[in-house]
Amino acid sequence: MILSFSAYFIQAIHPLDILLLAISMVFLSAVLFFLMTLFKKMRRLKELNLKKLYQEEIDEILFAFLFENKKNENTFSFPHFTKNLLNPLYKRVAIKSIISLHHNYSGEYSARLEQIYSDWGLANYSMKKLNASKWTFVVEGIRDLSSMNYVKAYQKIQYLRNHKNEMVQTEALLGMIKLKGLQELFKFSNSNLYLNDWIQSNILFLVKKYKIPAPPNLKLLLQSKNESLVLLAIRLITHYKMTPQYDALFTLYQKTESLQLKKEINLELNKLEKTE
Amino acid sequence: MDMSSSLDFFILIFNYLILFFAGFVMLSYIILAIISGVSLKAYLKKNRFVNYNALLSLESAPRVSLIAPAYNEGRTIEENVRSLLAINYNNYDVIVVNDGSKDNSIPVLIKAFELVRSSIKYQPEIATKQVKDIYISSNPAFSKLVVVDKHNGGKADALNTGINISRNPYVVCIDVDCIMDKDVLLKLAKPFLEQSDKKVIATGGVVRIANSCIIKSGKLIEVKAPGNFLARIQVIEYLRAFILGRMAWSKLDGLLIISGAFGMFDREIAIKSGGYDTTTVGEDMELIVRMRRFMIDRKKEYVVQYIPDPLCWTEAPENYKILGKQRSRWMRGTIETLWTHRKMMFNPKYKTLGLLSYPYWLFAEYYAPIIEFTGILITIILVAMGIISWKFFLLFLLLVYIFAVMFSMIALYTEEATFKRYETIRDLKKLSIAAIIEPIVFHPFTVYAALKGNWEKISGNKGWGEMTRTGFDKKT
Repeated sequence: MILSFSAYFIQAIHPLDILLLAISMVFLSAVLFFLMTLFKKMRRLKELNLKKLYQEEIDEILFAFLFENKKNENTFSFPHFTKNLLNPLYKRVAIKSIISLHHNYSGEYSARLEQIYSDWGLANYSMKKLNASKWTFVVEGIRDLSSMNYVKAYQKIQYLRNHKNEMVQTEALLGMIKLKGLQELFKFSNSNLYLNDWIQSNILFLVKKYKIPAPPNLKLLLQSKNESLVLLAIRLITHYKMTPQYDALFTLYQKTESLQLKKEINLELNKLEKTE
Repeated sequence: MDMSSSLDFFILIFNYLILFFAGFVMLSYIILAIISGVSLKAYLKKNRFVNYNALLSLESAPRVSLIAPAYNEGRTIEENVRSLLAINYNNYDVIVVNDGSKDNSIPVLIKAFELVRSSIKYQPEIATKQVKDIYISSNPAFSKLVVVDKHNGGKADALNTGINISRNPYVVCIDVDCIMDKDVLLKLAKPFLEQSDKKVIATGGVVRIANSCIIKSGKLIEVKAPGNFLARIQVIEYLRAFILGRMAWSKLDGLLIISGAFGMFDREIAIKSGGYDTTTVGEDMELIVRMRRFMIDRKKEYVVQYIPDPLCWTEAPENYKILGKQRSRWMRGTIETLWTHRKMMFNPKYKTLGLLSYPYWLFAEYYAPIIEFTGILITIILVAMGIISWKFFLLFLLLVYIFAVMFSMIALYTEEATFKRYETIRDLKKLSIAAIIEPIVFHPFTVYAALKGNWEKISGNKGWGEMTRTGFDKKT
């Protein structure tokens, strides 16, 4: 039945009809893509305007708390704040603003911002992201929590070192270092964790940006069987200008067969000579 | 077989060939667009969290030389070099190679950057035209700058000179008049840090059209759809080529070209492969094909990376005369490269390159304009003779036209879904109108220019043709 209908259909249809059908379909696709582009652009522009509005309100509230010593409960005197805080976009803008201010301030202000992050429920919002099925949310969550020194998230972040996604694994490592310092690296002394140059540059960036102090026993990392970790230790020793550890670098230079390590020690010591 | 049945047979074969070719091109475009879309989505997802500034913390980040060949660029060279010196990266130098300019390029550079003759000896590893002088700056603020003054030998020769002068393991070859994103080197260098099992021999990026964009002090401030109609159409063309084409070829490991305006190479491999070929006008495509062949022939594991971010902005021709010269030159370059590396055609040794990329370039880039022109010509004759119906012919043309518009719309959608560089509804309107008109006005001209390129190749024309630029400074 179906076969005979198909045969009839094929015989009945003219090549010009096929062409017309193809033209109509392609035309509709072109219109569809145009409309999708237009819709996307309009939505983006609307979101940008909304973000600007939210940003202004959040900045006003944050500055009131930080510099006018207003109490947390007073947030609710701001129009729409409670309602807005349920909105994910509003939360994202708020987290971004708080993190940005947190980078710029230290001491009392920094602690107050950490408190606000927690009081406004943003820390919980970030914690929920750690359980998300999409890895992008997990990375976002780790980054927010570690940036805000939310130490309560440490266990969870440490657990995410075993996540199947490499980006999450790297972000978890960076988060652990941010929350507990470079001492965390010792956990990998005997592991085969490979820290490529890109990951190392991210660790060094973290150390410089947040002025993470050097662990007292850093030179012990030079004895690790993990070559990439040894490389990172060399870079850290020279970054901290740990003069007493230079002997250990010389010893390693003589002992190691790795050309990469020799090259790095050479480079770093030459650089130090120049600066001294 | 009598005359009439022979003609019928010819017409039948012709019709099927044209239909097959049109179907093949359209289908390949769609497949490439799908691969590009998926790859772009994955790339952006991953790179959303990348902090490129982290690379600045690594003292041993790859050391790079930016090589900028210049010929008669005196009017804009100072601003262009300042822009190159302001790039966000630790370990780099800028080598400007003045390729025997007839204008005041060298005096302008000497004055602007306090240049003095250097004692650096020129020791070429790739043969080039004679170097007259090498300059460095007496001002420590410009310590990254080296200026080489040499006899004219063409762009490829100037780039080879720069590769010879460089002492860094990586070279980035650019057009001096391009506007670079300030993070360009950070983005290009990242793949070199991440790869450990395969050697990254080259990284290429996306080139975009800068006409009508707001540029201040050599930096791109605001992206706008060009006011000039011809340049606006080229925006669509570049979006299609870079977003929907090269991204897919990169994913398939079949990228045959890294734009001459902007590409990063492993210096050692570039030298061992013989450097840029000075006898072709398609030196950018030729070098990357030769480097890939070099690695495959020696059974070495390698990778060519592609960065889809818009990192390099160039000025597009705004009149048909210059555009025609550019396009016929591109066609000659394609012919020369395909001919030089004809051994790769359907050669399984070269895997995707030999089995897919090379044949695709041959049919869809080289033969396409010839087939298109011949096909339309014969069809018109057949229609005039009453053998093929006008109705069918016109409807078929309409299908091809609407397909071209649809493909441009896909490119515009992909741009909006990814990099979002055109901000306003007005820009979208301008670009959409350009997409509708492009197949009628611009495409026939590119076919003409490609045919001219074929003719020039046959008749032995080897010139580059002048590319007169308005210069960005006028537009700030």
